[in-house]
Amino acid sequence: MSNDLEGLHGLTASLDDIVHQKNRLGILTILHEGRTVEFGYLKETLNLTAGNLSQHLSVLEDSGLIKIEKGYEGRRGKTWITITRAGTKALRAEVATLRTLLGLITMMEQLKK
Amino acid sequence: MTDQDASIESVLGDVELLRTRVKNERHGFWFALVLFGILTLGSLGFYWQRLSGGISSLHCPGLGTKSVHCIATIAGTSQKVEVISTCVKGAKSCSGLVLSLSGGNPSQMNWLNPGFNLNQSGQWLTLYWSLALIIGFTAVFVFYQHRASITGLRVKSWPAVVIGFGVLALAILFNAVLQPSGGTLLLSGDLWVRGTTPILIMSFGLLALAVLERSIAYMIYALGFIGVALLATLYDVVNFFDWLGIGAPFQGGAHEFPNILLPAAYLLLGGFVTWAVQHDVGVALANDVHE
Repeated sequence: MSNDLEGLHGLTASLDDIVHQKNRLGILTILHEGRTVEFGYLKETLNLTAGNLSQHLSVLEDSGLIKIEKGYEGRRGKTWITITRAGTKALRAEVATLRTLLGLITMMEQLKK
Repeated sequence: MTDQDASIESVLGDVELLRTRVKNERHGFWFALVLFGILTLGSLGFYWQRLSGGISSLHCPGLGTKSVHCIATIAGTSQKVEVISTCVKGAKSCSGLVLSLSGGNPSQMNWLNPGFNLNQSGQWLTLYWSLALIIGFTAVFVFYQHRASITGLRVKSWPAVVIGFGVLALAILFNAVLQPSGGTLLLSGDLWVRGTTPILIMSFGLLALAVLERSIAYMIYALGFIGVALLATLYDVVNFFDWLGIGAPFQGGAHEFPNILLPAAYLLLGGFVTWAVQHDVGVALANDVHE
């Protein structure tokens, strides 16, 4: 049991704080599936305010997980966001860690019984 | 289940839900299937065949009751012709409805279907398909661009358009420039003879689009369409219809129609099913969100 607990702590520590935050995990998930996504789509899908979304995007961009491109479509400004390779890798690692954690916790619950 | 369990499970569930939603909203493959299905169906009239007045003589080297190969002299050139024949035992010549003709002249702007030139319609068929493919691939590109600006999800579609145009250009180049100088048809015979080569060209563009959509199901369907296009190019599909017992309406001048109807039906069916599934998943996801 103590070994399991150590494993659990080790896994928890390996979670990336930048990716683990719920909204940022959502942003990376959408970008991974959509590849190139417009700012408005992220805002609407994740139900975030523009300011809040911008903050999360800045954090992700500073970490090199996404790329932001600003442009125009007619007269309207559009911001397109894409996930980088590092972003894809970080998302995969996060989801894999969460799955392992879930498996470990379930196993410990069964051992308790 | 503990709170910890529930929380991790709920995060993973949300991730999965988001993935499904984005994937569903990103796809636009149905449009390409429906559009090319309609364009294929639109070409049907060009495949109606009658014995051409240009055929001056027919000689029947073999025997048969239904369809035989004859040698026809058209504009001074001997060409192989398949007819629904009256060439019966003892007959020296055959006459009847011409089904297909190989070794046609690639000149007269009949670049896409050099073996298919009955009723002098080959060049019109080439013109129709050249325009249809150009308009079709361009419309697909415009559709994806327009969709991206509405939904906010961009799918890179231009490589599929480039592949479609590229294969079309290669086919025209082979037949318009290389063949006349070489004297014989490159990849001669069945590949060009039924006038359905443009459907094969279309199938490569659709496969490229399915790859860009990153959907295994679309890729399998597009590969299936390459199979259907090859069948329509290399085989008289009417034989298959006969075997199914539905070939009766396609005798005589409509002999070539099944080669067009089969790929058109495959595309239209795929397009409508894809659209319906996408629509249903969208409704189910919207209900999930509201719950």
